Amino acid sequence: MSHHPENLGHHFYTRRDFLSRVGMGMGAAAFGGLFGQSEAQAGLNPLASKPSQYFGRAKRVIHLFMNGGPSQVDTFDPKPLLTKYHGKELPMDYLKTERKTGAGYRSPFEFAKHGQSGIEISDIFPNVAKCADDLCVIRSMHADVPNHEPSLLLMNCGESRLVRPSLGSWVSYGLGTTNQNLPGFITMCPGGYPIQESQNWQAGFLPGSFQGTYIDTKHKKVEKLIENIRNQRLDATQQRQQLDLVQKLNQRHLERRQQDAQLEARLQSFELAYRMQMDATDAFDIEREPQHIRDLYGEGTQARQMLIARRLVERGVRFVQVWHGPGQPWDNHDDIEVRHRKLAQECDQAIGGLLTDLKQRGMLEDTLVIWGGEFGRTPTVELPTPGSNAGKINGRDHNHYGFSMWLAGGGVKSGYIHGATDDFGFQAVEKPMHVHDLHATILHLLGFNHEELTYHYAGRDFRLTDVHGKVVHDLLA
Amino acid sequence: MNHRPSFLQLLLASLSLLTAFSEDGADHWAFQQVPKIELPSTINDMAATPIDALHQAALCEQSLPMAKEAPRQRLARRLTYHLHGLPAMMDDVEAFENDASPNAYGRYLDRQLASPRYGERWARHWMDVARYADNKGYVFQEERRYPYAYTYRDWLVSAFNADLPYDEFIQQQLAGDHVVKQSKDPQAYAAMGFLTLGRRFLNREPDIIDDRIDVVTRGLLGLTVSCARCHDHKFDPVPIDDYYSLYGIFASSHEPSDKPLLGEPDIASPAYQEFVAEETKRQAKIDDYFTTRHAKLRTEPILKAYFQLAHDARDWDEPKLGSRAQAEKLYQKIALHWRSRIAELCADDHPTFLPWKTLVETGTLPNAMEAANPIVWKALKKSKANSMEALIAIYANVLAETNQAEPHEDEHRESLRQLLVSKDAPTGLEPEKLYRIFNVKDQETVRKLRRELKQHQAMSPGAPPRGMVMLYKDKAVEPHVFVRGNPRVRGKQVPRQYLKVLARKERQPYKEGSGRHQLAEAIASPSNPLTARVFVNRTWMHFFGKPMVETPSDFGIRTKAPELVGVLDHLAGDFMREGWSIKHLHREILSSALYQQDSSAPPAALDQDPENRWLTRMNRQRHSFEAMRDSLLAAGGDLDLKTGGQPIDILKEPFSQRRTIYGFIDRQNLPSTFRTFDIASPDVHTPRRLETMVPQQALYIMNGALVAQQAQRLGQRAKKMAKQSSTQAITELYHNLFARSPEDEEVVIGKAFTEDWTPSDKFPNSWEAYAHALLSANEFIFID
Repeated sequence: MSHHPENLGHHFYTRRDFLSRVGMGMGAAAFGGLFGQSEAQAGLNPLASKPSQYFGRAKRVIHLFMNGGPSQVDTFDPKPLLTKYHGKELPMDYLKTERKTGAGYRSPFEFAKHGQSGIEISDIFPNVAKCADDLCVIRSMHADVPNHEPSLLLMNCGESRLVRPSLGSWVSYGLGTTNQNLPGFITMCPGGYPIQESQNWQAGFLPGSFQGTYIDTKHKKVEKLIENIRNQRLDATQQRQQLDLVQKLNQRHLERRQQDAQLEARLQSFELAYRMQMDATDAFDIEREPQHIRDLYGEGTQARQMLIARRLVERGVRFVQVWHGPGQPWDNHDDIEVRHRKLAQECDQAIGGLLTDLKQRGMLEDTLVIWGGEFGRTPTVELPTPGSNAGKINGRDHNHYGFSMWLAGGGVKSGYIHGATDDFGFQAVEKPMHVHDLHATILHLLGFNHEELTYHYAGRDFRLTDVHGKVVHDLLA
Repeated sequence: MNHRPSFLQLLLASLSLLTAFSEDGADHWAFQQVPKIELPSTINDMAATPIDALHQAALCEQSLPMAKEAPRQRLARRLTYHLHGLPAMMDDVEAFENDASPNAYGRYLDRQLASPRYGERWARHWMDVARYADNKGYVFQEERRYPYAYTYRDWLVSAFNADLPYDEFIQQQLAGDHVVKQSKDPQAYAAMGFLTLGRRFLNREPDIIDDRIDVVTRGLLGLTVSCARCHDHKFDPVPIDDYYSLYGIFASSHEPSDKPLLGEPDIASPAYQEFVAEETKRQAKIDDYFTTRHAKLRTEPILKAYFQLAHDARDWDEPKLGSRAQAEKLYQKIALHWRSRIAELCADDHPTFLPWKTLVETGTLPNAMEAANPIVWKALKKSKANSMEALIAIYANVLAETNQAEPHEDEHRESLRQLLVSKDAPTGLEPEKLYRIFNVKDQETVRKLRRELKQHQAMSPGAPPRGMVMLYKDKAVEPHVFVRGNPRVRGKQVPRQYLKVLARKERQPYKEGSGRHQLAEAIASPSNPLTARVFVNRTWMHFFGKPMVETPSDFGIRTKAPELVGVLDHLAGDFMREGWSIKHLHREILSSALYQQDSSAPPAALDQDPENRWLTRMNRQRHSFEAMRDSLLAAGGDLDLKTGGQPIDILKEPFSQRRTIYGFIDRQNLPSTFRTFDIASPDVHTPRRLETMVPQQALYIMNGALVAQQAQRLGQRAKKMAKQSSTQAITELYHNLFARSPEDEEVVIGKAFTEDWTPSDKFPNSWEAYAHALLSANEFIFID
């Protein structure tokens, strides 16, 4: 079942489409889906909600992006042997990473088993650890190269070099969004962009409305968060009065012409926009949460953006990406002990709160939460390189050969550890899982065969996983 | 075992041969030469032009009616929108409506085609094809901005205004360097922005070239050649070899860092002089950074430090040497070089380093050493040096003293100087070569200084325009196929040559230069079956709201001939016969009854041709983002018609009043306003813009600052006028925004609204609210 529009124009704009809907009224029309119809009928609004290809356990996604690359051996992949080899050369062939690394370097953090499942988590994530039984920890992730830019693009777009749509765009393309008053794909990063900037949530050759809408969660006021969401001078009554005039004029204009769904659609889009002003304001206003919920997430920017993430998915936003911060905060080439502890402290309670909150609302079962960076870090210590680190010999280099991520909810096996790295945590050796496999599995959880969610562009059908990827059934509940 | 093929195998083989034959495109409609179209003999009154004859014959065959001619007010708005991307002026519309002469339309059309606004509108259409942006995309810390991308945009505007024939239009864009050689007019350099202003993919050559192959083949030929980067094209007869033949053509050119000027700068102008003064200053800052650091390397204390480190670190590993170098603020690479150099000189018994070697090996110096450099020996003896530390101090002193630009007459002194200045000496490199030596921090500083220079060159209003050219390399590249697209796995060598599917059997490998200008000639040739068709189809799309061939950049085997293929072929043939004149093509289409139809269809047409595939009426069209913004400015009466020049930020307040085409396009972080309104993605060539209708667009109109500002201006004027007559104020607004007079009832509605309005402190002027509503109305944004 291949589903791609023969061309863009047909997909979003056909007169037959328009005419078939005239009479129903555009606002009320349930737009056609991508799947199961001979001709794509997404209509003028590409974000209209669409059914998935088959039943998917996950209906929405929250992707917590620890940009910079958190260290697996300091978080979710304990390696006691590193203590033995601390300060000594590891008895293995060193894999080539970005920079020179030296002796083995033990984790400065303590690991303990948590929950029924006994998943081992380091002490920098005490609150996440409380949710251990909800986690599906993948210890055998691997990517292609030890550099941020290509690895970010690979993790986000399934291709490390060329311009391709991001995972969130693909998901929005496949499923649309259930709340037309909010964007379908929202990406939040407080204080600026991560490395590689908005390419991380690009729509590529997909329509622009599938691109992630970037929100700088440094701001607290809603008008700073969403463009043009508020009129600075008109109050609601005045605006309604004005809009009524617009619609009256539009109605006259329409009456003097033949039925034209385009004209009707624009008329409707103003009504939608009018309502969106209220809805969006509401979604981003965490002040409306009761105190005990806000306490659950804790204080600070991370808490605020996790709570916003929950409010967004609750309101039908399909894909929410939450970045830790601008640049690459988790990229600790020096001082890994101090910095990793601080970073974890910033987000641990918020992430734990998010999982708990989703669960208590019954949303975790169909919300897929993804945690991870673009790669992991070396179990060996990074050696001094003038200018590129502070020469403190207490940090770790990038490592794409093996790293950890975790999933929760959305139909994944909970309290489960998948795969393993070698004795030192350098390379995935047991059930290695490439980023493409992760993507295939995520799409499967959402009800798509990753080989069939395609888009015809420039003469061929493209998909998120290109020619790679296999669904990892072990992860499925 | 029997190896003879079975009958079945033979049958299968011959079947696959057959398929191969039909798949080589020999019979695909778009790969055939453009035929001369026979016009039907029965031409009725409505059929003003050849395309009408073809169109109406087709309608006749389908028993389809067509719409009647649109009223002149609609035609005027339509033409001005299509040719200028601007609203029609009431005065012009009235004059046109009142023009009783038989050729009123033709004259109106000619005036529109002659306006300089025309080039701005059509340049922007081509910028979609050319994936235009003013910067490179993500390139880490390098200066991102293309300082001269705008010269390509300006070249496009003048090319369309001057009706540059399309074949020359292509040749200049692909081989402007070659054209300039003949014409001596450097303007054509600017045209090469078509190739060079794409994304830079962190400067990876295979990806940059792929982007260029894509823009050329999809943009000009409607062929998706990029599909053959990793394997033969799945559908079209484009083998992977052909991809790498084109690859070789582009790889055989380079982009000079000093771009050629597009003419003599006006050296007397203060802006230019200011530019040069600041440029010199910033360049000097960079030069100084290198020369001071370079000079320091040959000074006594620094030489001493390096010698000491080189000596101490004789047996150290690199990291150890590195941290000591870092601690002493020395360059690790220079230190390593001195260490190996000294080791060599000692091993070679170099006269200068003989005492050094002796002291290291024996722990003492003899009384005499005939083979030693006498200057060094004398200094050592004079100071009675007997430790390495003392020896090193002497060496540093003696060597530093010999440092000068010119050779010494004395051979011993000269031999010492050579140790500092010879090419293989650790301090013998050119100052700017120090970049490789620098630690990351120094490199960052240099990059910052270079960025500041580039920024000045890009932003200074006095910077003279230059062209983003490609020039032939001295030696052309003999391309190899990259197996599965992987540049590290080189397959067989292929010649630089044209595409097999278009050249058929006659193709010859390109010998002269890289072949880029031969490629341009082959694309711009009347015997090319695709070039004219693809361009005509794009043009058609802009006039009718949708193309004849639904995939404007893919005319490959899977693309069926359109319903009106006769019209397409006629126009393509006529276009080439008329010297590839774009304005002729436009006039040909716009003069037709087909184009002048109303957008309201006869009921039978709606029934039988709901999708308007046969063009039984005009398609209603919505303003593009550019036309919408320009119309908003024009409505307020303050559109700035200045043309050309460096791009401006059109989203920043206070808002620029210039046309949208002059706005800065940031490829990396395309502003959400642009995306919301479906402007072409500058990442890759865009065959066709999407037309979405999302609430964010309405939010922009309802709450956006630019719309509010224009409403305010209109509202203030209307309020003033309403003091005399509110009917007059309303009429004025209708003239201004819709190029028509209001109906009586519309005046009544307007009066009622402005009277009923509840003013507030923040919003006292009811006329502003009224003007804002008119700007929001469908009539403002749709063209019938």
